[in-house]
Amino acid sequence: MDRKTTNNGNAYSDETIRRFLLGALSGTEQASFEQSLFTNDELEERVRLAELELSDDYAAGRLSTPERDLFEAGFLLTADRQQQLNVSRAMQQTLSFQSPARVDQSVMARVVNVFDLRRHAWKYAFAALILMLLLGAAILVTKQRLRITQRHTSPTPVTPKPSATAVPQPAHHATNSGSPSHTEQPPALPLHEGLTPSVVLNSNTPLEAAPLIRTSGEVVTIELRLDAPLADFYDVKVMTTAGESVFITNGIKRTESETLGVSVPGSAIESGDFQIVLLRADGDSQPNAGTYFFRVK
Amino acid sequence: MSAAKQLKELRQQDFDRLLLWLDDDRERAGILYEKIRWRLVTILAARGCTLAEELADETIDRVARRVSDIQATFVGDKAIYFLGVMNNVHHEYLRRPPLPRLIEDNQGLENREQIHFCLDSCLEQLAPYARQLIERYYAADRQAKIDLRKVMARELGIKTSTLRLRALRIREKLQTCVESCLETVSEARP
Repeated sequence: MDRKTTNNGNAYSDETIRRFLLGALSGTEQASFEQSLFTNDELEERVRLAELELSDDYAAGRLSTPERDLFEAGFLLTADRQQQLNVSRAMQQTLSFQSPARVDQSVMARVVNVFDLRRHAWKYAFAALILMLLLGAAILVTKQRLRITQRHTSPTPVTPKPSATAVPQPAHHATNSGSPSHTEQPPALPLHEGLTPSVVLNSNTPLEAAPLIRTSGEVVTIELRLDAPLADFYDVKVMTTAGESVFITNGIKRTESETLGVSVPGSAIESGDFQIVLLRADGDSQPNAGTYFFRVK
Repeated sequence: MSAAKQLKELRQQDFDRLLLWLDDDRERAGILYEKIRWRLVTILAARGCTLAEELADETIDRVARRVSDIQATFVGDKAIYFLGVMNNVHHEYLRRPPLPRLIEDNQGLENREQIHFCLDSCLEQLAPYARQLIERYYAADRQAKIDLRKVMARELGIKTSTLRLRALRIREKLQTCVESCLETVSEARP
């Protein structure tokens, strides 16, 4: 590490520079060094850096006892050097507590450093957070008070409750005993989340809304609602949504209620998203009869 | 015109003349002036002078006042001329009765807080490479630090002496940044 530079025949090691800064050079060495410092820019830079290093070493407690004594007696003679030492101490506190592992180049180390609570930025952040919480609490209290005040000053109009009449009134009830017909329809059951091995599928149901089947049995019975134009026979191809064919059956006859019953082995559709491609097998009309989606848990 | 104002104007004229003597380009002259002042302070401090900054300024003042007399005939290294004047100023200082050394306590709690704040801010401003280097260079302690620096040098494919120079240059930037930040903070205060 020790480095030497030549200027007018003189060579200065890092150790000499350090001794110069601590005022420990002999008279002859001192005069020569001063002359060189005024004429050699490279030496000047080295002295500047060594000055900082000396300050850092002192702050870190790395100086030998004689060096420390010289430092304390003769180094801190200028305001600049005192400020350097202040920064050295701050750096020592901020950076030196980190172990080598913690300042590893990994992203994790950087993140840990950012979230280190000893960083002063966090102190300011916490102070700001506390201020914000106090401000928030004050706003809430004010709003609550305002609400209470409004409740007391402007009551909301209330519909008067019916009260019993003093005189009996004739009641106009219907005289016949037949009850009116109830026209309300029961709500349709959701198509999805049907945890059953038997399911009815529509071709217009997208995958996101497709029913969920739990394959508990060996065979899953699927009933497909057919779209027009109808054919008498259909070919059925069961595939994953990625297009991988898992089960094929041909020539299935449709029922009178315009549906098609398909029995698919549970082992072919263990879990995932599936589609059934239905093809008309009579050759009279367009072969594609629709795609049906379902999911298996 | 008051005597004080006359003196101030005279000093400004001397100073302008000094800069012009150092270099025709005012910016370059300013940089050279700063370098000379730093060298004077450093040498005086190395001599154990407790008033290094004051004596450096006194030296510069004396040179500035003499520029009008010497500029036409002066031959040689101008910086060395300062060294000669400084020797005279220092000899005069040594003949004076020693003054008690005033130790300024600028490490109050508030100042420490400001330094930490500025240091954090300056570390944030460093380029990622420089920040990582300085954090690792100053991490750990004693033997672990030495070992870590050897590992760093090996990783970067450079000598430990080169690593030291790189780290210290970043450290120097940090020092400049922190000092500038502290000035801004103190100026912003009412």
